[in-house]
Amino acid sequence: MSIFRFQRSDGFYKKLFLSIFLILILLTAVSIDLRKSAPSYFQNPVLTIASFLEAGGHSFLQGTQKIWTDYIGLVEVRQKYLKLNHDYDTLKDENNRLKENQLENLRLRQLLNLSPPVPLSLTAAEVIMRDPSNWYQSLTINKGARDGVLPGMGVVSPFGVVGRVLKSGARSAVVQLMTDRNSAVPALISRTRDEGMLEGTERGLARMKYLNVDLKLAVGDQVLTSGLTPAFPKGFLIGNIVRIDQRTDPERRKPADPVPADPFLSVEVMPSVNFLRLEEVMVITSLPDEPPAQDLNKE
Amino acid sequence: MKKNFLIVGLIVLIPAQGIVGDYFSIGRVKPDLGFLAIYFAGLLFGYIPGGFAGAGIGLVADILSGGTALVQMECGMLLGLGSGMIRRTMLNLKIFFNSLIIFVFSILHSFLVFIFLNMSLKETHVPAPWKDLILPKGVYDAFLGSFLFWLLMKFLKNRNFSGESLDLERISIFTSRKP
Repeated sequence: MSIFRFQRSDGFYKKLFLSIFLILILLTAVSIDLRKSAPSYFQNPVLTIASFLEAGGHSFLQGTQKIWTDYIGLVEVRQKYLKLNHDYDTLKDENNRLKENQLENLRLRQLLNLSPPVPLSLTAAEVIMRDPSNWYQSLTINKGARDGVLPGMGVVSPFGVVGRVLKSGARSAVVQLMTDRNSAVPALISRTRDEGMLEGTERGLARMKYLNVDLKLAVGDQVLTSGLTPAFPKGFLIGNIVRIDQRTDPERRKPADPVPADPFLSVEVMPSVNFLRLEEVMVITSLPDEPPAQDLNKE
Repeated sequence: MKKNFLIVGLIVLIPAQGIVGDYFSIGRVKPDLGFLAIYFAGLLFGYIPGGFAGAGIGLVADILSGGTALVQMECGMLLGLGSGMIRRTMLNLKIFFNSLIIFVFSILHSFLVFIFLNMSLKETHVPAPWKDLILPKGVYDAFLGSFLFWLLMKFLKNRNFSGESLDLERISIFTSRKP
């Protein structure tokens, strides 16, 4: 006589089958992750359906905000108008000077037999959704493969670099921000022209790694794209240095500190773009002949 | 019919969180409605439906977020199975203990996501973001979760909901505490 007696309930086999099915799904998902192949057969329909929902929700929110901004929140309009007028005059002067510089640049290029810079082809897009999870830094835009937006393309805004297109559905695309921990963008310091690799951090900032430990960097130095990836041409603003890693910076290291194991200097960079307030972006759709540099993504 | 509404609601949940999530974020931590939905699905309907809900919501979250791995699907499924298994215990507890268990589940879920993420990245020496993300998210989920749990129970009580073997009379917040 057995000590343990199992009484099988009515739905025992059904539950057993479903449990095994769930475990199989789990194992398949884990194996897909380890092989790193994107499940595009799920991805495209979900992205397409979600793009309609996101666009609808976004329009509703925009409409609600517009009622406030267009009719109620007009208290400081005059002050803003005067300030903008002043800014306009200043920028007009600056624009004239830049035009002169550009013409001079072109003349010098002709003298040196350098090829003129390739004109960029940009596609404007609207941000319709932020990343739903706390684990990634991304946003969804309302342009997709139908508009020529493909994975690997760079995304910029008037304030600087935003990120790179990670997935694209027919009508929408997911953009991985440069502050995402899986993002990597080749960058250079504007003042010293030293190159490194810019990666995202958990804190929503970016960290520029693999810099020479003897560099004389300063907080506030500008960081630009180095042009080593086809997604971003050289010279796009990324942000400014806000912190130099004290452990590896030779000037800030105390004499008593042990010699760092890391032979490289790394700096923390504050992006020039405020991702929380970003509403419109531009996708660089004119990629060179070579394939998009997806290999720079760690995933 | 009710089931269809529930499924549609769960699918719409993730895009909705992406649209309005930032408005409700505290610091850099957004409310994790996906986590709470999976947790409640497991709690109300058992571990098998909970597992399926977790896989579905997690898959949608994976596709709509900036990751290429199916990490949230895997962790969502495990969360749904886990919450389905403790449902009897959970339903008999007071609201304070409910929030405590949601806090523990949130921490475990976040840590699991972190481990799976690093497993798929094959990276080492990445410290877990306890202070920046996991603990604050746990607290946020616990507060929001217990509030939603309370609301949900009130709603279900009023609608005479009869979920799969869910006995509302056994839930402490509906029963009289007088001896």
